[in-house]
This record gives sequence, structure tokens and C-alpha cells, in this order.
Amino acid sequence: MIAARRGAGTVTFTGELPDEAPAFVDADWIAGDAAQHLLLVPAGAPDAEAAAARAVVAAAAAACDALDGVPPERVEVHGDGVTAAAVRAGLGRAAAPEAQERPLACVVASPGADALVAATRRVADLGTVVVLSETADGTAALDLYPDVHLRSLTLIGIARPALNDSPATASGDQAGLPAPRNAPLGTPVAEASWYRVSAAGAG
Amino acid sequence: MPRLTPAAQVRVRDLQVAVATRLGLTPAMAFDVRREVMWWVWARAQAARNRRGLRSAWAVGWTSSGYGELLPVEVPRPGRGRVTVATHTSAVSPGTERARYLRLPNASMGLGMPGNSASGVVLEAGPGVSGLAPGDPVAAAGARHASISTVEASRVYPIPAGVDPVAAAMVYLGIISGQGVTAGGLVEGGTFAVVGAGLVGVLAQRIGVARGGTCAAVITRSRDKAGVLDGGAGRHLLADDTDALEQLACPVVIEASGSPDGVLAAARAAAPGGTVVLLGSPRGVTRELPLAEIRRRRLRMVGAHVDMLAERSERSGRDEERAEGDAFMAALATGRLDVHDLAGDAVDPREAGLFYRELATRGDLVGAHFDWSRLPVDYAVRRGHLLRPPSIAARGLDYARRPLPVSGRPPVGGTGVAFGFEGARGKLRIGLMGCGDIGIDNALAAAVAPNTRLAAVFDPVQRLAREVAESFGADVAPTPEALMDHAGVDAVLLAVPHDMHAPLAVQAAQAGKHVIVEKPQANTLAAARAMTEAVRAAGRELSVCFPYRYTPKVIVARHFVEAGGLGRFTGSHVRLFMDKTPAYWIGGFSGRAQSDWRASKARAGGGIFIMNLTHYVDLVRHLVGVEVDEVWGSAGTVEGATEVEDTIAVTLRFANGAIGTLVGCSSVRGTLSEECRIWGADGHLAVEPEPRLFTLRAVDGLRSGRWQAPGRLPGSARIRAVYLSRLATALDEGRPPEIGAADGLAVQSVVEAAYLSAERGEGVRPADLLEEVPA
Repeated sequence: MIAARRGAGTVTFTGELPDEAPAFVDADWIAGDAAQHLLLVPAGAPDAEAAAARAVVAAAAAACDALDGVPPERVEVHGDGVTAAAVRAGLGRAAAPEAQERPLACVVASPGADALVAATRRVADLGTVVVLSETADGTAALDLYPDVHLRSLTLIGIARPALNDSPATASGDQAGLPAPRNAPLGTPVAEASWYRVSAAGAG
Repeated sequence: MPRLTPAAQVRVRDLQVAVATRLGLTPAMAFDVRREVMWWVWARAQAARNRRGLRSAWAVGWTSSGYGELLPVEVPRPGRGRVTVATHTSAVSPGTERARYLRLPNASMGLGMPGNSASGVVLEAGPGVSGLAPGDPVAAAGARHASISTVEASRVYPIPAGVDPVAAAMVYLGIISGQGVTAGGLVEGGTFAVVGAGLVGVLAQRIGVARGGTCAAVITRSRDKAGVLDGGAGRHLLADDTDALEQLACPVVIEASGSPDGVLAAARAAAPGGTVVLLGSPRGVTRELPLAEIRRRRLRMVGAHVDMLAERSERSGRDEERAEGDAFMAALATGRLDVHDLAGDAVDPREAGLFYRELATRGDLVGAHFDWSRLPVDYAVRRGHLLRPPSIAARGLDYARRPLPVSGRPPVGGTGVAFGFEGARGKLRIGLMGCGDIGIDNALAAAVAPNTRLAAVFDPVQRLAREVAESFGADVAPTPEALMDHAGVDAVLLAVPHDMHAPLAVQAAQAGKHVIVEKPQANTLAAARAMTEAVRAAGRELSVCFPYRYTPKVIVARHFVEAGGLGRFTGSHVRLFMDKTPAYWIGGFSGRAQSDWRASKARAGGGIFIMNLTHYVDLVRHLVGVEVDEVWGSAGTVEGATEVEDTIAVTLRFANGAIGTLVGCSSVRGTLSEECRIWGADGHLAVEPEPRLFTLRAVDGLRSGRWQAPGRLPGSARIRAVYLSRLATALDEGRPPEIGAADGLAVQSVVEAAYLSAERGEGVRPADLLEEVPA
């Protein structure tokens, strides 16, 4: 975990990376003042960015699979990061639709318990909430009664992207993901959907 | 709505209080009025929907914070597609009803009309209903805890032959639990675990097993294993045994505890990719929902609230609730499911208030049911009236205001209760010693009682003796000895200053007479003990005149206690305010016999406590049958030149742990003011200023949960005559007096303990004093 300080339209990562391996950070993994998850690619591994993208796409695919039977137009995706973007891409659209009625399912990648609560309130009765959210300590304070229990929602946990989960055939480029923004440690960079964090001066 | 400013909120509250005050309503009464109006509107809205009339019945209701009782209710007659069921059994859902009764988070009181599952017989079927006829035994989902309920026919299930109606009454609880099992996607041969061993948890276990699943474990917070595995579960695990839970790795875990943290244990016990069913309603916020863990293990958490079955039905095109209910009844009929042991204790609906108090404090109570067959005939279903206005009097909710009348039936209603001279026997000839105020009262009593006669009188002021003798046809004894030796006297009645009781009692006993003594028995405990021993040695009887025991309202109160209305005695309060003017201290209330003995500590033994409050000490003992174990007193003379106290506050600790208080002051301006209350775990009674009864028990003739007035009782003017008559009968039958020396000594020891405690500043045990005082 490394610290992440947000500025006016910028974010600055600080801390140390093991063995100077590049780390990829989804914008939605920044919860509190830290990046709650790092997708570490071993130093010297070929095409680190593609490997990270495959992991992200794999997680997004798992989220889409969890929406078994829900029409894509009745799904809302909450989040600004690359995983959320990959989910949207997986659902066949570039951005969240203008919602006129309650979605049957929400995929929530936005960080924090509040984002999860908002998703459970947003989704229709008997709906599904696919959970990709990160929280500062991995837990959330949640009253499960009014929405999850009373309205009989289903929460489905989706594992964090990990390199060993991603099929070799998956391609970030094929999913149409944007390139990550390079973020040398200690250097403010403009906000993006995801970042490639590297040791200072490593480029 | 815009939020009111604090100042506006205060004004609104002032207005509410003003309106309630104008209407004579206490907060509890106002709450009940609101409930009544809600029920009134609800019944008429239902009747309008059904296009039918109303029936008048009874239902369990929560009237105000922590109060439940059996209340009159109007139930709509069945409209199209609906059925009215006369209830035999209504099943309690302990978790839900406990939460609602306690107003826990996520549990609203709603209409304050609990219950949702019952069995009984069809009373009436509405148009369009087929297959259900009056008299058919049925189970009804959605039926309240009420003597009748009208529900949709689709929620009514014929009870198959051989199925216990009490078990069938759990149909809706079976539906709740069954839909939880369904939501988990449990397949035949599948393995599951259940968190929680309450009724819904146990039902989920059994239903899962009945559907061919294997219940690997039951997970609870408590180590108590009683009944936990009765549903066929393989193991009992504790919620905090993290390692064991993680090793369980169940594909389906059903959380049925209702605890906000139950889901944590459920998540731990679930296998990767497994399903956690949220069947129990969490009563609060889950503080540390393990999101990272849920994600890592790709868990599915499925909410399963029974209210969503309607929505599920719309989507699936079949009646999901009916399907669950049919499955439950079929499982009962085939014996695949047995729930008879979950029905718990049968509760008389009239004791609903008591039951909910117990439910609130007993976490181990798995099941219970209301048995509506216990209601007496006067709770029968009657025709209701649409045009009846709502009853907004809130009668019986406040001691002082608008009590309900007792129904007039025994044991507490008056009819058949002996208030007077019933069974009087013998003819006791009384010699009266002392012809002051109280002497005249006693002479009158002896003349009125059918089995006593005033034979002779003595008073040092012979004029007083002659007046009494002439009035009642008695002889005048010239000396005390002459009265004692009078051949026509069986018992000497002492109506003299307190310090004279003991020597005259000893003298009378030695003369072979029974002794009747005005309360207190004596001015000191030692004197009381001495006269008791003298009477005993002479083979005679001694009785202390505590005539309040024979006041009709006290007799009613005693019957109330004996009928169980009070339950375990837990406390009492007595208050007596009087204004004893300077004239009293030299001549009593009438001035007839001039003497200053009442103001003398040595002669009277004390002031308002020994002189007046002793009546109440005896009364409380008499009513509850428990002796005083320790006394704390604080006394003083705050006014006038008397030696005796005019103000006293006494705390009594009774042998069973009950606490009582007595407060007395004889220097309070204004009229006499009395209060005497006794309460117990199940009820409360007041003797003064007005007799009132309140019980949570099912006592015939009373409505539980309401203050009631016994109605018109005989007057209390002749209670002293009743006392003498009962004493005469006892002596004639060779029985000891109803109020004997033991009573006199018990009261005397409390008096002495109070005065000693006031002097010493420490608690004094009456029993110790009785041991210390020489016989």
C-alpha cells in the first residue's frame, strides 16, 4: 500500500515499491489517503501494462458474469476507475446511461462504504449489487436491514484484480482501455482512470 | 416537510400538552387514543374495501411503551376472495415480536397489533371463495394475535388430517423460513449451515433438512447447546470460533440470528463462491462488514425478506408465498417436518402484557403461542358497528382517571364475597374498659354485631361510663377489678391509653377473660410481649383490633391478591397526612375525654406512627402475607410541644426483598390525605384514596392491563362490628382469633424498630427486637 494525496485535479503517490516493480492503481482503489490495492508487476516482466490490463479486464468480466440475466441497459456502473470502465465496456457501452428507472443491478467500484450504500439504495427491489468497492480497512459499517434484507437484494463480491487470475488471452487493448498515466513516486500527476506508479526517476 | 425550529417545536409541544390537559389525557392515555383511532380507521378502511360490515373481537395490542394487552378490536367481515378465521392458536414470532415490542432498530410498531400466523376454523368465507366452508380447520398466514382475523383466501390453508393445529399455526413462520432456504438455492443433497437457533433459525434448519439438505452446523453466540441440534444439524459452533467457521466452508449459510454481527460469522462459514442468506432482520448496523473478505471469497449475500415474495410472485408468475405455505403444510402432513416442540408455552391472551415482558428479557425463549380458547365467554365475537365513534376515553390507563368498572363477578367483583356477619356464631359478652371516643365506637360495634353483646363498662370518669351503659343496656362497673370479675363478661375490651393496655390485659387474663385490645397492642414491645405471655399463661385468647382488615375494599384487595392479581409482592407505599390541632392533644378528636396522654412518649409510645400508621403496617402484612425484615426510620417533632413525633418516614425491607415506604405527618394543613398502594410483579392495587386494581394476569372479572374500580361496595361504618363478630365466631368455634397476638407483636416490633432506627441512624430488624425482649 502506498500513500495517495489528492490535490486540485492531481494525485501524488508516495512510499516505496518493492524491488522497484511498477504498480498499477485504479483511480477507484484510492480510498482515504492510500491506494488500497496495488497491481504489482514483477520488475523486468515483459509488457507490464498489458499484464495489468488483462487483470483488470478479468475482474470486469467476473463482474459482468455476476449479472447473470440482467439486461445491460438495466445495469448501472458506479466508479471512475479503469475497472468500472472495463465493466462498461464489457456491457457494451461507453458510459452510464441516463437512468429513468431504477436499475436492476449496480456494479459499484467507487471507493468507500457510502458508495456501496448509495448503490443499494439505487437498485430496484430484488436487485443485484456487484461489489468492487475498496474501503480504507477492508470493512464497511452498513445497516443491512433497509435495503439488502428488506428489499431482498443480492450483494456479490468480486475479487480484486490479480495477475494470476487473468487469462493470458485477455487483452487490455482489445477491451479498449485507456493507457495508464505514468505516476513517478512523489510527483503530482493529473487525475486519470488508472496509474502506473513507478519509482521516482524510473519513468 | 420543512423542519421546525427548536422554538416552534417547543410551541407545538406546549399545544399538544394543552390539548391533552383539556381532554384530561395523560401521555399514556394520549398514546392509547392515537392507537384506538388508528385501529378504528384501519377497520373501516378494510370494511370499505371488502364492502362488508365489521365484527367486534379481541386482539393483542401494544398500547404504549412496554405495555401490551388484550384489546377490543373490530375486524372486517370477509369481502370477495377473503376469509374470516376464528382463531384457536396464534404463533408468536419471538425475534420479530421482541424487536418490535422493544422498539429495536429496524423494527417498527406499525399498528401496534402483532402476530402474523395462526390456526383456527373458518368463521365466514367471502364471495368467490371455494373450498373453504365455515367450521373447516385452517391455518392462516397474516392472521394477527386476535380472536378472529380476516385474510385473503390464498393465505388460508386447510389443515391436513393428523396435523396438530398448534403446529399448523406456525404456517407463516414456516413460509418465512422456507423462503430463506429457497433464496439460498439449497439443492437436494446440498450442505448448509444456519447462524442462530431462534425459532426461524431452527425452522430453517428443519425445512432445509426436510428438503433433502444436510445441515452441517448451527452457529450461535451462546455456548448453551440446549435444543440447538434438535433440527438435525451436525455440529454446534460458536460465532467467535473463527478457525472452526472457516474450516466449515459451507456452500450455503443462512443467517437467522437477527444480530447485526451474525453476518460476520455467516461469511466466515461460507465456502468460496458460496451464498450467505440474510434471513434474520438485522437490528442495527453491522459495524465491520468484511467487504474485502466478501470480495476475496466471491461471496453472494442474498437478502430474504418475506415481504418480497409478492414481488417475486409478480416476476415468476406463481404465488410464491402459497408455494412455500403448501410446502410447509405438506411437510407437516407427511411427517418430513416436525415442529410440535417449537410451539412453546401456551399463553392466555389476557396475559399478553406479562408475556411480552418475559419475551423481552428471555433470550432463550424459542417459541410460544397464544391460546384463544382460554378466553371466557364474555370475550365472544360480536357484531360490530360501522357508525360507532372511536373510543377516545382511554379508560383504565391511569389510576386516578376514568377507571374501568370491575365486571361484577367473583372473586373481586363483590358478588358472593363475605363483607359482613355471614356465618356469625356464639354470643360473646364484652366488658368495655374505657369510654372515650374509641370506647363508644367499640360499644356501638358490640351492639351491632349479631353475636356480641356489651355486658359491662368501666371508665375512671364514671359519667362517661354511665352514658355508654345507658345507651347500650350494659352494667356500670365501679372499678376495673369489678369489670374483670364480672360474671357476665367473657372478654375485656381495652379502649384506654396505650400504657394501660399491658397491666389491664394481664389483670383481665388473670381474671380468666379473653382480651381484646385496641391497636397498638401496647406502648412498647416489652409491654406487648408481657401481656401476650400473661394471656397465654391464663389459657385465654388475645386479639388486637385492626378493623381495617374488614373494610370491603380491603376484602376485595385480599381476594385480588389471592387470585394472583398481584403476583410476587415487590413493594408498597403508605402516606398519611393529618392535621392534629392543639385541641386533639388534650382531648382527642371529640374532646369527650380530656387527657394529655397522646402527647406523652411514655404513655402513648409515640405519635402518628404508633397511633395511626400501625393500621397500614398490619394492612400490608395482611394483604401480602410477608413479614418486615428490616426497618429504617427518620422521625421528628416539627411542630407543637408534644413529646411524640408528628412526622416520620419509614422504609421497610420485607423478607422477600420487597421494599415498602410509609410517610406520615400529623401537622399538615388541610384535609386528611391518605394513600395506600401495594404492587407486585404482575399487578398493583390501591386501597386509598380510592380502591383500584390493576393486573397483567388473567383474573376472572377483571380486564388485564387496565385500572379498574370495584364498583359500589358496602360502607365501612360497621367494620369494627364485623371484627368483633368474627372474633366471637372464632372463639365460639374454639379457633384462634383472625387477628391474634402474633399480629399485634409483629406490628409492635416494626413500630419499635422504626423508632430505634430513627434514634440510632441505622437499620433495625424487628425479629432481633422480638428475640431481645424478654418473654
